[in-house]
Amino acid sequence: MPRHVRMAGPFHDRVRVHMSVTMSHPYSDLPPSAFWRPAVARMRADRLERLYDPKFRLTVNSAVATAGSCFAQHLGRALRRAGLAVLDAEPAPPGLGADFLQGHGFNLYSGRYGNIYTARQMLQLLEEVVLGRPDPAQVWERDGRWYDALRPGVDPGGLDSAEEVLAIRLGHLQRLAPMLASADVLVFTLGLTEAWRCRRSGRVYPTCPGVIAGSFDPGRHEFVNFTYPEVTEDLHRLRRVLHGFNPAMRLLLTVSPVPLAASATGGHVLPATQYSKATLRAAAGDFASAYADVDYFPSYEIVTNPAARGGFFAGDLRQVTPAGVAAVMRVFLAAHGLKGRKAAEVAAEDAEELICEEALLEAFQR
Amino acid sequence: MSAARLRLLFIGNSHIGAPRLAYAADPLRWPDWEIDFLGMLGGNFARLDLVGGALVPTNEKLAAEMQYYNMVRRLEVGGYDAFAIVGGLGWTGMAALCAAHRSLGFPSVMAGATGVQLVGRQFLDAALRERFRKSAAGRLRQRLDSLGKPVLILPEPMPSAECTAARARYAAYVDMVERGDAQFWRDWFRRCAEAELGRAAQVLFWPEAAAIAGAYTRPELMRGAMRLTPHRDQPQPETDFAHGNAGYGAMMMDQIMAALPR
Repeated sequence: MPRHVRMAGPFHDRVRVHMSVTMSHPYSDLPPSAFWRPAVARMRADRLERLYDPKFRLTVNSAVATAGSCFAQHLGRALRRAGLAVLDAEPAPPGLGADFLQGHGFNLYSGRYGNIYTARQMLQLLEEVVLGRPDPAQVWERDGRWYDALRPGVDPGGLDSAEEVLAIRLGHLQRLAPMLASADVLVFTLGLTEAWRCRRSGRVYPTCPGVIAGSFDPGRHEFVNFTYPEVTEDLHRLRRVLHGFNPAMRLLLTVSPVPLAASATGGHVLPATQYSKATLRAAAGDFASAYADVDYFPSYEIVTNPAARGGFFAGDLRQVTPAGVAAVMRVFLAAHGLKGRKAAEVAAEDAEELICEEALLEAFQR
Repeated sequence: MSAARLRLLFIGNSHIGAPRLAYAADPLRWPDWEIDFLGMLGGNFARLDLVGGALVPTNEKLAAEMQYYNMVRRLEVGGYDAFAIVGGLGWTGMAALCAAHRSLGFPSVMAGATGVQLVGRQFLDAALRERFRKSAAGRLRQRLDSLGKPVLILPEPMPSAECTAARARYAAYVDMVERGDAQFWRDWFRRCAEAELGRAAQVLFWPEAAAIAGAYTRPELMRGAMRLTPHRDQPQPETDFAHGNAGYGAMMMDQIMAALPR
């Protein structure tokens, strides 16, 4: 029976029956999941159904690489808990606490590259791995300590010299290559369109120069807000580079639901956030539609679902609550036929604070 | 026994056996201090709370262990004039920290070692300090701070030079020695221990006379070590290469006496 807007009274009932019998149109045979009221308005936000039909299945035998903005840390943890082989090119030394290690960039992703907020940042990392040589210009200094400008958060105390930064980055690049070659799937979470980049080299940074280290120089650094065509093009190039490591590698994209901590567009952060997320969402969706080996998972939609009435955001209205993460992972794991862990355990572990350089911008608010 | 003598309490794990044996064999050799020993298994001595001037177990299982090994279920410590914490720093296990992760200054890295995950010197520094902060010795030291008495910390001995016979068990350590990193890492360990623990305690490292190649303990100072047992002496098995004997314990006692205020 087709579903219609409910109208009261015998006249309207007759009209409804008449229309049902006589009319056929593209909506008449759609499942409940296609209609807002049954699929969203009347559905618990943590019990969404038929939201995601994977193009390809992850199994416990899948070798998965993860990267992306800070929300991607949740995905990586959940995949590990589900028993997947989440690759780690740079495993942590033994016997140290989780907070300490994560504060130094270990156990966050499949390499110690820190948060990767933009498609361009991911692309440039992959191209640097192919090149196998770090850029000596991308070293920042602060108070006599030296930082890798492309991942300044992984060594919070800095390094002893620019030479040490470059030696460690070279080792980092060398370890990523075999990891990427062995990955069946890269799970990549897009976070932002806004970034700061080096005018000379075009390299984008995960943080604005001067926030963690380095110093901001308008002659050397510029703001960029990537547009839909630019993000889409970066994703296509990213796929090509990934296939250079492993032609069979598949790509699973998500968009982080975490709003911008601050916008450098000069406008209000709310529309800036919506622009950023809409651009990433549209680019990811269109890009995924173009390839059988690229999929999109709607974590952004699950967390921002109006049916959650904001309940998946913490008190700061940015960070995602453990319940929000659990809702995302329930859909993801169920769709892939994977088993998660008990909600209470997941919530406890996901209460761990994420490592998020972008949040440092909040310290600069007046 | 003179009432005027100062009182020293040893607190530790199985490594407390060495100084206890030494003291039991020749108490008159260290006549200036009245000495007591409190031994617990592994890192359990760090699970004792300091409540109202007494060290008390935090649960019944721990209380039973304390009773079994020490014949007390709580120990008033306010009357002691100094404390020596023995063991609970984990020197041998620290070799695992630099098994795969090393910084530029390591001799093996400078010699061109491959397969190493290069990390910052500052990271390894922070990692060592993190381990000391969370070590059993470090945690107990924090509790004893409030008593305002001198605290000495003595790491467990370096493994016996005979530990190569149990290579699987000591793989990370023996590898570290064989690739030439042991003394470099030992010196780093000492610097970090002093920086992290030395503000409120004095760390007494291994007696130089007991060491071989800066990385092992002379086997004759380890053979015949005794287990932490309450009622009678029970030797460590022949496959134990971790514990000092009475000879090693006497060296520790001399170190402690030289370090304590007179």
